[in-house]
Amino acid sequence: MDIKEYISSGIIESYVLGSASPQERQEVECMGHIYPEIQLEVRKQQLMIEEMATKLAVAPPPELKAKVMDTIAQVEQKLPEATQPKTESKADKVIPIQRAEENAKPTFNWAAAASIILLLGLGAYWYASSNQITGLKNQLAELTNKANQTETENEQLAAALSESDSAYQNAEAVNQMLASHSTQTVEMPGTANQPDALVRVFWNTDSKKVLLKVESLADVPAGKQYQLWAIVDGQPTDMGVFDLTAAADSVLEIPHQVENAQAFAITLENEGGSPTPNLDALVVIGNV
Amino acid sequence: MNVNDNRQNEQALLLRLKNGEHDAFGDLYDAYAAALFGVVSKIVRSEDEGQDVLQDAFVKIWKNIHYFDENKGTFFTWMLNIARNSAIDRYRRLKKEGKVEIQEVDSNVDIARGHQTTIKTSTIGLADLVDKLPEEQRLMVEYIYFNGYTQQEVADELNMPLGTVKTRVRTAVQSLRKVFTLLLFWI
Repeated sequence: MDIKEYISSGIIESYVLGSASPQERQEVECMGHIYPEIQLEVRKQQLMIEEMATKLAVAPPPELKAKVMDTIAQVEQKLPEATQPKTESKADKVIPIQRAEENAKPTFNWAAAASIILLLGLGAYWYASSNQITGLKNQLAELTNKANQTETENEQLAAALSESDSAYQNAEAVNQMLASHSTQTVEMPGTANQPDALVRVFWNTDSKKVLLKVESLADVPAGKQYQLWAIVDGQPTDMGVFDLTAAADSVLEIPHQVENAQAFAITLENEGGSPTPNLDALVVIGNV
Repeated sequence: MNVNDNRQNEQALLLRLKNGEHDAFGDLYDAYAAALFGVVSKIVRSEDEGQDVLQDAFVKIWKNIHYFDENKGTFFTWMLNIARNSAIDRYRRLKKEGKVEIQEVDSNVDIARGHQTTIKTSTIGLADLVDKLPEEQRLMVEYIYFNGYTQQEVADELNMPLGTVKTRVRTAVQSLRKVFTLLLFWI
């Protein structure tokens, strides 16, 4: 990342003068958080605006102070959010899954009618892991039809069982991590390249595991892939490419771990990814 | 008072403010009201409206003190942003309600033409910007900082390419730096 280039691009001047868009503001604040040189430049320019304001100072009428102090006396300070709300929102993420489980039962009774008792028991587990269920449900519907036949088909059924069982285990692990107190949610809003994009990273500071959920991200052009990066000590660390559909349908486990992430970002790279990020193709970025 | 003293004072004041201490707010008012009032009055082109906006701004500052994030900048910058945003919102509302005559974007011109004789802006203050900054750069500051225009809106208004606006904005802020560094040197 060429810091000098970023500084001479004019985006910081735009930021301190107040003409930066919300995405640009977010970007500058993020960059300042990661790179001390950028933070310093922002500060220096802000100081210039402060000086300008000081030079333009006009004393207000003396009576105004009393008016202001009186009004203040009747106004409560807004207290900062406690960590409680964060926990609640993670609990909220769990609830829809449980609700889906209740809705699932009528559908599963339909499938159960044609198959073995095992499917009834599985139904509850499957719906607990949201979208993974659809694929598994189809698999099992197919399998139940064959269940009346030979032993090899029974073996196939047993295999599907253990697959959905481990799928349930994975989903459980994901839910547990989402609800954990040591999991941080990192919101990554879109840059100027994709202003409407929004992706979330869930990073557990104990296990160092990373989960990804795409809320809104443009489709990938042919031959390209999205790649996740963690910013550690001011340097981008490769967190691998990921499948857009998988990460959009449900919370995706990233098969990389990271220790001291300061921020996360996604760039659009050629298929297979790149050892270093192409910062012109930065689509989302967010601070820890 | 050197920079470190200022910083320590600011930290101490902040702590008292976050603690809800009203007399700390009195100190804050004494220290910053004039600077904020200057900016605000210039934006709304009226000291009467300016007083109203200043009061609103101070209420917002008191209310949201716990949301001040020192990673994004100093406390003064934070207050300036609140004051500036309040002023721009107020000015736009006044325009919509037809309560202001059509004003020049450049409020210095208004003052020169006597549209707003109530603004007792210190002549030194105005002269700094008017004399020391090249006209085309000063206009950027007027349009963007004091009138809330986006760079695209400036480009459209002045019929120039967006790239030119961007370059002038950058140069304007860099020039401010030279202006104030020189002034500090003089002191």
